[in-house]
Amino acid sequence: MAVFSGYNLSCARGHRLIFEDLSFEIESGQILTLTGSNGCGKTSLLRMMAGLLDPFTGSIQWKGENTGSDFLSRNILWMAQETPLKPQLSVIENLQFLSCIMGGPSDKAAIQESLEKAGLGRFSHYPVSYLSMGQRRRTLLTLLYLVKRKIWLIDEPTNHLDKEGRDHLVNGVSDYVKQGGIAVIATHRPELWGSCTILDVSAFREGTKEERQAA
Amino acid sequence: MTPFNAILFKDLKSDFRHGGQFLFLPAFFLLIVMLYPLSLGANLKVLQTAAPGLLMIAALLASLLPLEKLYTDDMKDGTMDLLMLSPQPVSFYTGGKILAHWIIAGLPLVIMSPLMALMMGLSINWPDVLLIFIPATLLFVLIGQIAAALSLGARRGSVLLALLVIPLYIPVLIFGAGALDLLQTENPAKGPMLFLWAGLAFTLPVTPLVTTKLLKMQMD
Repeated sequence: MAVFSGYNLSCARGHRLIFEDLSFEIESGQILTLTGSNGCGKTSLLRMMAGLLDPFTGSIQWKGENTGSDFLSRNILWMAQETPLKPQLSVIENLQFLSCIMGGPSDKAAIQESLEKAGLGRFSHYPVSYLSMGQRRRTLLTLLYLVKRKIWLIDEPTNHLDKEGRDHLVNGVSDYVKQGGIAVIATHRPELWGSCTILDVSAFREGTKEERQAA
Repeated sequence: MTPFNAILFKDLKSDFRHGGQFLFLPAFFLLIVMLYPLSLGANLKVLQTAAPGLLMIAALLASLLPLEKLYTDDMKDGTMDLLMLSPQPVSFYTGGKILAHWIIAGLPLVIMSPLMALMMGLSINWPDVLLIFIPATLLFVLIGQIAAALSLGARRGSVLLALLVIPLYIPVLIFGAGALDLLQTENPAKGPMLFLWAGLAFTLPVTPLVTTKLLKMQMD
């Protein structure tokens, strides 16, 4: 029995199915990358895993039991493409707020330490409005190290990142899964994540069920 | 830092650092009140007769201003997603949001209200004016929170919000203006004032729960 799994999932938007009959299984210490063309439902699948979107059919399970809101809020760290950083607040104030609501540490020393590790220490008291998109993304990714969770769900994490930022993130994810964590990453560049399981969400678009069964 | 404090300080800091935005609302209230003597003329009796209702209408209009953006920013930038996945109850978020909203949009009106009453020629003791404006502004904020959560994500949300919230503000307007009018004519105003405080006692504990439920529905 897989640790984190989803079976026969389908996602509906209006009268259209984005994907259907999609299943996945992940063990602790694994990375699952979600690939596929734009609009194929990578983000929707991640949101389903996070419990932010109800599947049209199917279920998502942790050790064979359906995940409930209590499990999700204690074990999932969701990192969307949007950056929920308030431009008027400083980097450290934003992280204090986000870490606090996610149940992580909110003391400035711990946050400053994480920022130093991410190479953002000198920006900690800058208002977020002064930062570039890449720096904002890196600021947000600092949350991954502040808030301890069993599953990371990350949507297009390398957007706006330079090579240094990408390397830092890839190393961070690699260290996390080595310690037994599970990372699910929606990306157009699965090769960045080393030995990962690739799930092509496009292959599950509406009307492909018979093709897959025939194959 | 508790989640309640975190949300309260986040909203207050964001507002106070947003290019003097916190001054817009009191300035709007002052401008509206200043318009009445200019349009009604210099007849003090006419002004005194209309003043109770006009003051409450000015406070009502000022209270409408911040409603549209209450939850839209958090919805658009993904903060709301993180809140839904927070191990803390979402009502901490709505509770912090309500207090921050009142400090930004209600407290300045309360502080200004005795002066505005004086400007309109009302001869009412300032503690009595405060005793009317404190529950009235809190009720404007609480009702506004529910309407803002209800209209979140709707097309033409600002128009829908105004249409939703103004009818709900009418009892506050009637009892607030009624209390000011009775005090101005040196009659006891205990009845309408008690209605305002009773309305507050009912709405205050209910609003965070209702708003939380509505926000969760909007996220589905």
